[in-house]
Amino acid sequence: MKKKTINKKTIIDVQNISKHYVMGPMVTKALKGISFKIYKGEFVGIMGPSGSGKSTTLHQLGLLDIPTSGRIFIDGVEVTTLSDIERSYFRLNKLGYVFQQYRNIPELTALENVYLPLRMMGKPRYYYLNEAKTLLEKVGLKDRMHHHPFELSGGEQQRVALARALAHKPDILFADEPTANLDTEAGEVILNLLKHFNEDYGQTIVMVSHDLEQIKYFDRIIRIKDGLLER
Amino acid sequence: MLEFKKIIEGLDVAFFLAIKNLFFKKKMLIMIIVIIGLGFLSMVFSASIITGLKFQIEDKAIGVMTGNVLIEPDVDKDFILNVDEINKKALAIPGVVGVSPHINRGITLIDKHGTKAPSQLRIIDPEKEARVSYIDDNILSGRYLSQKTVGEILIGSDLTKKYRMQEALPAVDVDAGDMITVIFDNGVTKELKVRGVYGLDFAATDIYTYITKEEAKQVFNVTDEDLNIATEIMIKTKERGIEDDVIYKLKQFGISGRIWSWQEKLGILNQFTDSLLIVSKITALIGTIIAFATIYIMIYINVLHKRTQIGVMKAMGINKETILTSYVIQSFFYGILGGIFGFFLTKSMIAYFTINPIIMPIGAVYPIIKLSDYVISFFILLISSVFAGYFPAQGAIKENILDAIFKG
Repeated sequence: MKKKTINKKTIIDVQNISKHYVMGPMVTKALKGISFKIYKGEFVGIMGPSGSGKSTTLHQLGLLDIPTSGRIFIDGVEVTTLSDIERSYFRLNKLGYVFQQYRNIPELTALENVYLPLRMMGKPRYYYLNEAKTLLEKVGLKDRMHHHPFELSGGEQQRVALARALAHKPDILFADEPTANLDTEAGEVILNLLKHFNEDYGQTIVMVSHDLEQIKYFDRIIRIKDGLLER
Repeated sequence: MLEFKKIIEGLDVAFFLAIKNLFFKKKMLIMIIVIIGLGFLSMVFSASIITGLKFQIEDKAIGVMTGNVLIEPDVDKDFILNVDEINKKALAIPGVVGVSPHINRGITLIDKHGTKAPSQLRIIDPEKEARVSYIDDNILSGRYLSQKTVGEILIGSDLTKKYRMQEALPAVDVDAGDMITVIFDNGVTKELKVRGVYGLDFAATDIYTYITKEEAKQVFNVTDEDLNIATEIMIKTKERGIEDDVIYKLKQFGISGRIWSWQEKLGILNQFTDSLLIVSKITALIGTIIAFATIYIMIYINVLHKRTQIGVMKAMGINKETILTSYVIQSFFYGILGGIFGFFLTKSMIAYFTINPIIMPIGAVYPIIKLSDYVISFFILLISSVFAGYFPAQGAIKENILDAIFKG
């Protein structure tokens, strides 16, 4: 089992990114030029009040959106200039996501949801089945792997989502308020799992949260307010 | 090689997602299959009824008016000569199953009330006529003629007040067994017994009268030798579609006169039935459009409900092509399953209406559909399904990931 090490190797380098949303004559400046770095093995919390731009920041880092200006480097690759297909390939191979509302695929069982990214990567059947089963065991869903998402509780669904996000061993795991829809107990299970994967496997995690109670889980916090970094 | 591997991997996931999607909501699947099946039915069934109607009209016209091939005298001649010789030659042609020469004359029928009805008389050999026409199978009252029948006449239903379909035409008040006065075009007037009334429920065919050659010998005071002529010769073939070959062979045998196929001879009636065929094709086209629109709407709604899911899959790194392919595969399966259901549904309907034909003023109409119609309809439906899946899915995958996830 790996033990947590932060070797100061930059894995995310954000350089002066801004994001503007244009709706008719209205321009909303969600991000107004922010820069920061995240190092390999860190568990970073992006925090700030509602509407501050923290989720927008996560979406830019996670290649779910394209910033209006600025540059983002992930593991040395400038991702802001990648083509659509390259971004897709990059997401599949390097990044994992956990959404606030789980977003598992309802037609697939827990096991199928987890092995889907591996199957998409072209891994052999024995490999993706084993990996998915192992991960589901790690998140405590050994007996629920053949259930569909609608047969699982919110906490269990989020654990499936977490396993899915980690199945392909991403360089960075992004989590957008993963406990916001869960009760305290289920939320703590998720946070402890995140901490476990961070500390024991060196998984880099960037998580958005507005819950001050969760500060204790993070190695470092990036605070955002009104689209700017709060110093 | 790498690209090929990626395509295969993408196909594997697309197929996997398509199958999972297909069978996840079984009620939805059944509903889509039923709708596509009904689309298939609408494409082929109405058209099959119209085709059946066309066939029925043509068949009756062939069965009474023209045969498959009709020989008429040259324009400058009144009769075809050496009919027995022609009869033998025609019967020697492969596919010819019957030859019946007619000598046509004009007559007037007068009933006991003095009502007159003019008609065309056909002097026939009843056995030969039975091999060519449908009259002997469509006797509404009384009996068909025998070879030796004399003093009797067979009349079409539209010439009788009791059985006629067209009120506007003159008709006489007789039924089988009644006596009727017949004035022949040579001036002879004779009392004949109505042996039978035939009717095919088709106005164009139920207007003739028939007597035997034996009777004609008495009326016209002629011998068998004199009756070796014809005003027309009807030739029946084993099946439709070989008329041109038969005509070619007849000409090769040196048979003179004007030789027509039934299509040429039926003229306006043929134009009418050809128009029916166009109506049939338009009906099929409308059925196809309705089927396509229905499938499109169903799959479009289905895709709309999956916007969030499409966004999540894109976020996971599943490329657009794989997602699009999964929807196309789904639609393909909808098309296959719906087409199979539609095929059996249509087959059942056809079987039912073959046993219980639709009774129309023209008579019993049976649906007619060729295997090729099924195959073509199936492929049209399949292609429609694929397109109906492709376009909405293509629209959905173009959507921004965040819009798809959070506004879907």
